[in-house]
Amino acid sequence: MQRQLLTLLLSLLLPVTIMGQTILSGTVTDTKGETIPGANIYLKDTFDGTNSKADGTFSFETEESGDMMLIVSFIGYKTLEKPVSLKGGTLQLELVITEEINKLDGVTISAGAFEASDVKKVTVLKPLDIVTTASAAGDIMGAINTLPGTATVGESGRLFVRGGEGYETKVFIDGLEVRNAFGTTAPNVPTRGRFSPFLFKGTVFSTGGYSAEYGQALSSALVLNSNDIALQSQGDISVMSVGGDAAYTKKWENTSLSGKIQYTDLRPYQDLVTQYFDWEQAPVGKVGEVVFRQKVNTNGLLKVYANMDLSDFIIRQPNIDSDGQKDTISVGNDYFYLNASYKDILSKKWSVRGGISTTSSHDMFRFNSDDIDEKEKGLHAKVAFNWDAGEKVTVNMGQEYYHKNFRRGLDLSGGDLLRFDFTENMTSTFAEADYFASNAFVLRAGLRLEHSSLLNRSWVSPRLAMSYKLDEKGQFSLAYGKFLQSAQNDYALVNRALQPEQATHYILNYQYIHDQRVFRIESYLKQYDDLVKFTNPNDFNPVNYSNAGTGEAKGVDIFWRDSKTIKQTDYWISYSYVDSERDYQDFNGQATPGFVSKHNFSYVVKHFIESLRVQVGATYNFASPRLFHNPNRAGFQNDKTPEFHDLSLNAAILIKQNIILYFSSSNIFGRDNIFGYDFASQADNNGYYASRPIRQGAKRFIFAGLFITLTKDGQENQLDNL
Amino acid sequence: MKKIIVLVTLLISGFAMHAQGQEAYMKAMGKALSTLGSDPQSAAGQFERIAAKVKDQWHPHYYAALSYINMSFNAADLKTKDELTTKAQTYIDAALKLQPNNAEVVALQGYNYMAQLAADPGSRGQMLSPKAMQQFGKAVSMAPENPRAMALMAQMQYGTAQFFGSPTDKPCEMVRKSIPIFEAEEKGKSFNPTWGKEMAEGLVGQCDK
Repeated sequence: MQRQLLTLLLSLLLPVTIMGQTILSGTVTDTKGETIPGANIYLKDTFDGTNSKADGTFSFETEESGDMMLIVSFIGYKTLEKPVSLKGGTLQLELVITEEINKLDGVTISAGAFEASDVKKVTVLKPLDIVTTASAAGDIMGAINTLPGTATVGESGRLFVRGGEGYETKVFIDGLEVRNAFGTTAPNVPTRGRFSPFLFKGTVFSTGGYSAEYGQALSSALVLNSNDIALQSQGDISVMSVGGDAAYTKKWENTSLSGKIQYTDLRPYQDLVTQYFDWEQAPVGKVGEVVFRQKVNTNGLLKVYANMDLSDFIIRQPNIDSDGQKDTISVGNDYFYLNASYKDILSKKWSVRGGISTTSSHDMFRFNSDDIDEKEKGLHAKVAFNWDAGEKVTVNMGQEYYHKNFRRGLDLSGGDLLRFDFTENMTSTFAEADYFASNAFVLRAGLRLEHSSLLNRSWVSPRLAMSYKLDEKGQFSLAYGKFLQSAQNDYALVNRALQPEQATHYILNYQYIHDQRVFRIESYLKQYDDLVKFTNPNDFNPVNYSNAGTGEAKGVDIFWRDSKTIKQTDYWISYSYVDSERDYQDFNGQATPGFVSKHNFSYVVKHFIESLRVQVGATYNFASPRLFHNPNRAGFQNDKTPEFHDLSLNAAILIKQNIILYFSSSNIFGRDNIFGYDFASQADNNGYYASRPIRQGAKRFIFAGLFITLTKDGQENQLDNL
Repeated sequence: MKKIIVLVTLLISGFAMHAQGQEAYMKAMGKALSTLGSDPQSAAGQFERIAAKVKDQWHPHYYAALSYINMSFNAADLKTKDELTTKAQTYIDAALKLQPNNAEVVALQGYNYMAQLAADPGSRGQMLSPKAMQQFGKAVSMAPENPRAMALMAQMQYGTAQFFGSPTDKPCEMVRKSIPIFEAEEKGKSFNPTWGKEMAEGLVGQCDK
């Protein structure tokens, strides 16, 4: 009995021990014949295996026998499974592994896009750059304005991209539209972006040729990606020369909630520092923000952001037509923005993003004794799917709905109460596929279909882009696309039949990124069609408004960034050349508009002094003369402003880990930059049109702020708890 | 009777196979652990192979991740460093799935953030240092006497304190406290981690300067 058992047992164990060993040896190479060191070669479901040596060769023994599966794995390559038959002796193997298509970090579409993004990707900009750029004064738009393709338009503060107007740039937060992303302002009084750069972990600034996912923007899309769930509970207090704010963030396991209130008041500052502008009441703003994050499951994240912004100011501007008498302009704005989005991974191949945003902006203007009341309401809903359709193909598709309502009320002294309004609903569908032919070549083709209820018409906008990677460092990229944008409110109000304005982009880009140095050169051609045209801006007869306008912008943008050569120093240089003409609005022929300067140049430098824990920065901006129309001369757009120069400095001092002191000043040399001229509408007795320069609000703007973060269970105190 | 024999035989042989598997696992782990310090590439490969077969044990996943993290500190360029920490992360994810409340694994997650940070401190410091600290804090609260969690946390703290010119007493005190705990750890008794003493001693050395 015992013997029987033993025999049985032995017979069970025998096959393993008796058959003897097989030696597997050979070389691992890639498809180009290059040897691969460090590849992991092993028999599936066993502990037997080895790593290939420096010359790609390997050899190991196994006591396994029969038919087995040999696995070869290596970072960046597809795992190879090869059936082998083990019969003792030596098995010689030549193993060839294929490079994996890396859709994330391989070849990317770089034409038109400047990305400041998360940890992984090699990017041109870092999220922190936005806060630390000297000329930006904490405004996202100010930092973006040091990138090529943008123009300095000092009296506006908006983003003017590649010969396009300010309104041609559209802002998105988490893929959802933001209306009135800039504060409401009066003519020739520059504005700022509304949103704090600290809300966002990444930014994509596109100067053209952007994805079919983004529409209703002729020239540019600024896509801001908000922070994920907060890392810890903390309080933040800022004391600034222009006001202050207080914020508190509470973090639970899968939830975080932040609230912030901010009060800005430029009155004390402007009482102290001489202003060119004649303020009756300097800008005052009250902002309340709520940020909510909920992790719904492993990958599902719900984000809700709400912003309420109440602001007003009163300014006196000399009226050139009434002999130096000043007009009193008061501007009030009540703004509310809500953005709720959700993203989740549905399966290995599908992920979903969706959300809804609403904007409500109420402007109250008073021009002497005339009142203008404007309300704009916008809603944007989107659902989009990403489909990993195969090893080489990804598809992004979605459906959107836009609603816009605009109403304007005029209460003119001695006149009637006038009311105008219009509503536009739009639906759009987009689909775009990326085809990765290899790790060096990607092709993107997309279509965007838009339908407007107001015009009862549909449009199809094609988008096409490709990138070819020459080597690890350099790549070429091409982009083409058609872009639409509904006529501006001012014009749609007069003539509701106005068609959307159109632009066609052609972009050729070369980008070189290596070892903390970036070089980019991009040339482009942008053709405008169906621009709104009219004879006189004060004419409200719909028949005098049409889509007969056309235009063109072409140019070259160059960018160089180097964080390597000089230790602790990071600098970038942007140069933009643009040649742009258009016949739109009340132009009487093709001409270069007043917001275009042929040459724009920016130099941004940041240096960290480690021993003092101080980061100092400087930004120099240059813009060549801009054209304006001088009625005292013959012709149209016949005169030039002086050049624009501005040197801004900043310093951030890390007093403690949680306390930062910040200073910045624009226009150190106090240059009196002139952006253009206002002319009298009537000539005087000598036939001369009087003029007044459009200048900066003050010689310079100086800012100081103290930023304090308080953590309850933060790092300092965590040690105390032990 | 025959039935019983067959049953017993099957049971015994099953046990024998299992014991044999267990022995092979122990042997493979032992061999891999012996190369951890000297040849992290080879160690990583071995732990990967073991992890592929023994999916329900956290140790091979833990050590595969640790090997890749250590390799990333020595890698030449940012791209390679990122590839290695990405690879490490897949093993940390697997280990966390098996042992979500294991302070060793949580501390290793923090260590991987530290490695990612070290690859490009200028642009990643602000985002990753609180993330790493969060993991070390979590690990320490799970196992207040875990010397690796203590030493790693002290390391992060020390760097920050030094940068800001603030006193380094607290991190120094913490790392000193970890030394006797490191010394009390018995090596080779189980596959539980015992590494980190050299790192802690290095920090103590800096503290003593």
